[in-house]
Amino acid sequence: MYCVKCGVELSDSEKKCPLCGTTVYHPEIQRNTEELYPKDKMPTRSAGRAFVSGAVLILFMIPIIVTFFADMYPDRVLDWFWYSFGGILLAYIIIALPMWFEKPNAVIFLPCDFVACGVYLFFINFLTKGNWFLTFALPVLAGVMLITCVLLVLLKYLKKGKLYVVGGSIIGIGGLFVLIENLMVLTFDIAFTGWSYYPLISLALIGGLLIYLAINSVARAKIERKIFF
Amino acid sequence: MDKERKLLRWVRLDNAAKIYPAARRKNWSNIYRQSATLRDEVDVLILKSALDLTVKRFPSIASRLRRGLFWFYLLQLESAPDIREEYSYPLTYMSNKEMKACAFRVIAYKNRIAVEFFHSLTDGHGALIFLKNLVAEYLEQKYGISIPFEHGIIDRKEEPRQEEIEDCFPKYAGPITISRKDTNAWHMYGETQKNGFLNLTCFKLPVKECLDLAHKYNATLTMFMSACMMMALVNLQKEKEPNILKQKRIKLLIPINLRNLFPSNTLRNFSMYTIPEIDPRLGEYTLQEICDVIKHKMGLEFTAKHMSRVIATNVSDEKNPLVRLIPLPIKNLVMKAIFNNVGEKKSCMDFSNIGKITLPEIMNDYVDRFDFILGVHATSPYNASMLSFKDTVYINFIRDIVDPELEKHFYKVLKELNLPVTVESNKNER
Repeated sequence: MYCVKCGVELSDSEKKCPLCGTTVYHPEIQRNTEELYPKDKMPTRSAGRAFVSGAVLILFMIPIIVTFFADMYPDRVLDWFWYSFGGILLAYIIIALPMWFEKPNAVIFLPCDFVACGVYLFFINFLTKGNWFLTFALPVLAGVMLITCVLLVLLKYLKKGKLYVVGGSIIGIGGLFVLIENLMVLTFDIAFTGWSYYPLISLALIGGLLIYLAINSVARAKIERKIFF
Repeated sequence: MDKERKLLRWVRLDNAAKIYPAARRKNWSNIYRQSATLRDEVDVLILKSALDLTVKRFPSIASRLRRGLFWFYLLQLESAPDIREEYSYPLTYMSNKEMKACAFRVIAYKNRIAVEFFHSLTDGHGALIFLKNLVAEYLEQKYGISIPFEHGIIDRKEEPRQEEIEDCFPKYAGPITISRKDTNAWHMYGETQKNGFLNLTCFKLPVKECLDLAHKYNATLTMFMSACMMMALVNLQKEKEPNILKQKRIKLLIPINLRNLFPSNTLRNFSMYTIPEIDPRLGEYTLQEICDVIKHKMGLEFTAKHMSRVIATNVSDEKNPLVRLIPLPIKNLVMKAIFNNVGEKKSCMDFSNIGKITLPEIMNDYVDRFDFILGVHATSPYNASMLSFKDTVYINFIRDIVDPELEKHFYKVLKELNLPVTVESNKNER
């Protein structure tokens, strides 16, 4: 029996051509049912990942229980336990949660991690009755999240122009410093000294250099020649 | 029983085997399969009884992988494993737990007896001796025939010999080492098959026509088929990357049996490899040119002197006292990192030929076919292996991607040479 499309001779057991996928049909040939391998008999996947993730979960439970009793024991009141509990939970979300998934996608997990950070900071702000969350922590966190997520997504999915992305991000980080200083002045009543312009200028120079190199291929080649290792 | 347990044989992993346990990962275990297809359906009970006897004769192959403080080792099995049923694809993942209990499997399906070995146990040669003897024992028990001790069949009732379980690498290591520096090869890619399913495609060709053609190209069958495979790789890369200057080197890893160079009866790993390469950026290659590249590369490297240097390089690493004293978990991490960065980047794929399989005359009436199937690489999607038995060459492709791209190109190469090919696969959807 031959495949009508690619012309290869097929074993009688084949229902489709293994090379081009064309269905084989011949009304007069009695089909041999001897299949090379049994159909639809898949091995059950071992629970290896679930086991490891479960073990890590238990590992994280230990410090929670220890701190709970350490806080509870002397005066029967929970005071500092919630801070450590939140911290351990945050560490779990960032480190161990992706382990449950077969192919954890950083583009999804990274924003989630930032949100978890934000919730934890809000929680501390609430417990300490502070007033720094809305005016300082939230905007700074949002700025860092924006830059890292954009950087990650662009580096992951863009094939070219990585120098532009990195250069732009470095300038963005410089801008973040200015934002931080201004928010500090606003929130904590500190005098504005303009220290944030130093990192801004140096980072802008570095970022600008990278973008210049991205544009100018001759200069890039020269630099590559000097710093190869 | 306790005393017997104490007396179980154990062996250190041989030089080549040491990397495999460390290189394993959660969805990839380095195993390969050899199988024999008989004329009649396999009787599982008799097969189990034959296996019980055979495992005692091959203590280094019928073993389990255990951890020591500094190295892995192989521990002889007390009893043979159960015969397993076949799944929809060969070489299903072998977990740590399974390897700890028994590092090989025997699978019966219809007329076929298949054995899947973890590569640390033995190489293709040792595996073939094991399979032949298992089949011989099975045939003797089932049909009451008497099979002479020739063509690799040995006396299963005899005690295992020391020379069969020795690690031959240190014995034949040369006085000086050689640089391992090598270029990277083109990396095949494609849409990964879901659920860990492995696609198997088998090409069957007539030995005589293949040999005649190989001789016309002034090459052996291994060289000629390897050349066809490299040609298919060149064409596949051309299809995926038409810009010739962006193409990468085509390199094929061809394992070679060191027993042909050094006197040895070992049933452990004792093979090395050679990697012929061509650079498509230099222009179009004819099949004759590729044949010549392979022939000359093998001529240079497949010599006892060159191989003794390569062996010396590998052996010197394991002899290093610092390396030996590092605890196993840390050693594993380091070896894994080295393997990931170096191991599989030096060739596009493996193409292993265990050659012409011969059996004692009386067995030929009962055995129809042999197959040899390599597992896929950890990071690249294809591997292929071949053997010839009676008057047929069997070339098995295994892949973990959806499209049979390489098989198509390989078929085109064979078609242009007017070789009659029959294909079959393990994909049988309606």
